[in-house]
Amino acid sequence: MIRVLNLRRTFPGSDDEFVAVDRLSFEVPGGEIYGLLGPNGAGKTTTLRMILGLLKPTSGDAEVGGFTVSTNADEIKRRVGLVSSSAGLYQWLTPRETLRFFGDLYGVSREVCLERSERLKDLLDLTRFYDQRCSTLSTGQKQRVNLARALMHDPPVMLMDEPTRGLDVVGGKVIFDYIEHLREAGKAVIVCTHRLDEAERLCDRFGLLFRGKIRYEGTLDEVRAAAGAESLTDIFLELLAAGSEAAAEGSNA
Amino acid sequence: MNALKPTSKFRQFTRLAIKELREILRDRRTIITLVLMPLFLYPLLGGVVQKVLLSNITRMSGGPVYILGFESERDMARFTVFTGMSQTTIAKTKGEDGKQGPDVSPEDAVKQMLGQEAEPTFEARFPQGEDEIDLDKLAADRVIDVGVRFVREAGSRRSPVRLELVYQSGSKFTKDALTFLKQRIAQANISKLVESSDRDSAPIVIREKKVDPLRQSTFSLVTFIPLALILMTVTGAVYPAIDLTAGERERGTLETLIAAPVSRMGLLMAKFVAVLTVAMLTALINLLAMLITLYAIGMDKAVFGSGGIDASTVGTVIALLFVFAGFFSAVLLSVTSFARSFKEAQAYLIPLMLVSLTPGIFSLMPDIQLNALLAIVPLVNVVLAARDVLLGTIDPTLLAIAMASTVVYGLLAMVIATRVFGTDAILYGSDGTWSDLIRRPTQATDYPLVSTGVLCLVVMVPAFMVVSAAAGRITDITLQTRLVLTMLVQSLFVLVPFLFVWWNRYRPQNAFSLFAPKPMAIVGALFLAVSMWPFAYELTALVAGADRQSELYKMFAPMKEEIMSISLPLRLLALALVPAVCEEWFFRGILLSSLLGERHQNRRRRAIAVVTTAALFAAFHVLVQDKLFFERFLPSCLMGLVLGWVCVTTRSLLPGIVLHSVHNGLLLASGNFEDELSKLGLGMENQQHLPAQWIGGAAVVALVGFAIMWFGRSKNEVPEPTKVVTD
Repeated sequence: MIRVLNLRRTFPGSDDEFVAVDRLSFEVPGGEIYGLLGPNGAGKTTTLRMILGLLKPTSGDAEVGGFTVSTNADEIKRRVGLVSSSAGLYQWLTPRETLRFFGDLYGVSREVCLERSERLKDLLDLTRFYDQRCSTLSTGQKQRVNLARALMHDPPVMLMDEPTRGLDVVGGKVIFDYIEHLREAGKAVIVCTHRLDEAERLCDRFGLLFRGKIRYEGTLDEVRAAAGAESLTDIFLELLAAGSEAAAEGSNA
Repeated sequence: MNALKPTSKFRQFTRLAIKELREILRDRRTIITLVLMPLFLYPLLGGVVQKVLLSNITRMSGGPVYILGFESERDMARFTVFTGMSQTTIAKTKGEDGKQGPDVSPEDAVKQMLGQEAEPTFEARFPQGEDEIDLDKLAADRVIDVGVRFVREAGSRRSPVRLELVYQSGSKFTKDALTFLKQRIAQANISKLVESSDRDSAPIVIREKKVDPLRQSTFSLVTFIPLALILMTVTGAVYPAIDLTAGERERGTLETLIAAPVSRMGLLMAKFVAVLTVAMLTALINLLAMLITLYAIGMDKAVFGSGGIDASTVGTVIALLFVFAGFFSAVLLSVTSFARSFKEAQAYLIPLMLVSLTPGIFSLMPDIQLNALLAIVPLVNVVLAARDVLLGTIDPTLLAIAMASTVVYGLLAMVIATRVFGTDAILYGSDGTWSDLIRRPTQATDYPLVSTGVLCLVVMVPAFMVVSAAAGRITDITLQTRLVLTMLVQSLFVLVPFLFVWWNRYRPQNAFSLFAPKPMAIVGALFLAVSMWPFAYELTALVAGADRQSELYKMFAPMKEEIMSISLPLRLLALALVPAVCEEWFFRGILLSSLLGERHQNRRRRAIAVVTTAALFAAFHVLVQDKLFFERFLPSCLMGLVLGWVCVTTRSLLPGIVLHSVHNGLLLASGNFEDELSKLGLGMENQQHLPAQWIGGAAVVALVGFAIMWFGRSKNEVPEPTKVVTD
């Protein structure tokens, strides 16, 4: 369903260009949750943005449902739902109006739009604040509306960039439960998160990203075996320590 | 699955526009600018103005004082006798010794300021002794409002007294003066019919003489209105423009919009509609609040004159405001699209607002007149046009130029905005700077983009107007030199598109259709060249009518005589070949190819591109110097359609150049054979339609030309871009 092929993206730096994503390749079939994990600045968000066509890759390509982002970005956008922690909501619209608007934007018929928004309202527990202006909602409520918004066109692919950032335990659980539901619905899901415990429980496979490159990839057992560590947290700490040592050596040299 | 179904673009656009409007109209900051400000501001201002005026009222004069000019003191005396006006009604002043109006009571002054009927009065001007004065010149220069000239005719005591009333065409005040004077004369005539039978009772017959203004020296309160309206329109548009661009980015909602399968142009157009709507609502509410306030405090007549303001004036002002609001909304969106935050957008807009204030000052300067050059200066043109509309002195041609050029600038701003709005650089702050707009691409592109074509058009039109107007100011040169100058000016149509193609690294071959045509295409072009002019001629005759054609013939007769004095080869080069090459290079070159783009084989796309370029080609031919000749639109459009069809059929610019230049050449050369043509009934002065057999013959030749083109067209065209296989 999702294929990432040698994706690379650089940004101009103060001295030299900064490589945010360096020749990244991986695949996510339908019905699988792929955890794209890594510390801050590893290139997770940039990768998701390139898959969706929001950022142009410096080189390489991404493919969703047989369409390549370099030539058919609109077809990809039609097939992808994006949930991002940085995504806001229209403060003067209500959740009902927001869902209706995004349904229309993606060409969902009026009847399907109504039926789907009602279903999402129940599943994500939006009823209490369904007709309140979004500016009055709490962070957790907003994030649930955002998830519902991304699902309004029933996309086969979901890209989720830190969907539980800023949420309490209960709020996070609602989101993660729904992500499991997405797997059952046969969707290909990429999740970027810092909640490693939840990721271990939820994701089928992992790609551990560090400084733009995938260091470890596979199932939880494969990754643990390859890294020789007990948990994802240990692998993270090792990667960060190795990164700090390399940086220190670089500055001493 | 619904997700995979392509969305109707219109539905998407409508939903987007509704969403933008709903968002912005629910925002209390918009409501404050839109409704509360005008509701409080105008009554408050009106109250202050009224108080100030009433407190100073005793020092002010009352009803309007119209200055009448006479060729002598005797004429003035005769006028008072014939009209029955007393010497006190017309106060006497001599020469330039100063004016002395009749005394006005404070009661009249208050009545006048409050718009009640304070009686206008006259003041007379006449030369001292034997001095002579030129009433036409004085009226044109607004030294007098109406010149009263006695037309000397021998006649009996009962024969009518003939007066010529000279007035300036460019002032509402003088028109009011004329109307009032005519009323007084009509009253005098009626009184005389009833009262007496002596010499003095002879009726007065008047005729009017309109003179063009030399300068406008009156200052009217009405000049404040365009300034106020434009400032309020700007104020109304600023907040939505910032909020819907930089504000959305800051709140993180722009990313979700860009992540939807909607073109950036579509998103931007929806935002444009929302900003324009709010700007227009602000303008209309302000206009309404202003008119109600003026009426309520009784200043309507003091501002708009005794006739008030009519519906057509209000309509024209609204149309002008609409065009201005569109232009300014586009400018605001193009500026705020650069901003990554609300604060950054505000910082960008402060200088823009200051610049926008400057043209407002122009409307307050009565000596600055709207002319062809100022009519294409952004903002200044709208302010001056609105002022002249309200004063009732607008030249329709200049109004049309001002509106058209404002639309063109609005398009330019939108093109800039689409190149910036929602890009990586703005969305994620990657590497975007203002220089991105003019950065030269590093890679070559096969076909020019639509935005490049539009940008080229909006650069070309004002550049051509300014350069040709500047060239027109060069005098004391021979006709040959002028023709060379004209060719140089026309070369802009080649130079500017060439620079665009070079800078953007487009393939010149595609951008200008520089493919070798088949020989049959040239033959077909020749057939069309000799057969199209009768249709163009008939269309002109149909649209213009005999009277207008005769008028045009007279208007262009001196120019034609001048042109005929040049040798035929130079004439053909300068007025047939060079314009044909230059216009084809631009209209069927970059403009058509940018509208076609990669999809040049798509029939619908071809039809849209050909019709659009034909309409623009026709619009370009309507404007000649600072005059509009609308009768040229249809014939030029016909030629544009044929030339566009020839270009897309042959995939080459050359047949169109042949067709265009031979067509031009035939029309020019016909001047050498005018006598022969007149014998055939084709004299221009006679304004006749062509004989039916001519039309029939031309139709047959044209059909042959079209057939040659169609059957001899090139079939080895560039393949369509590869389609991606779907799952």
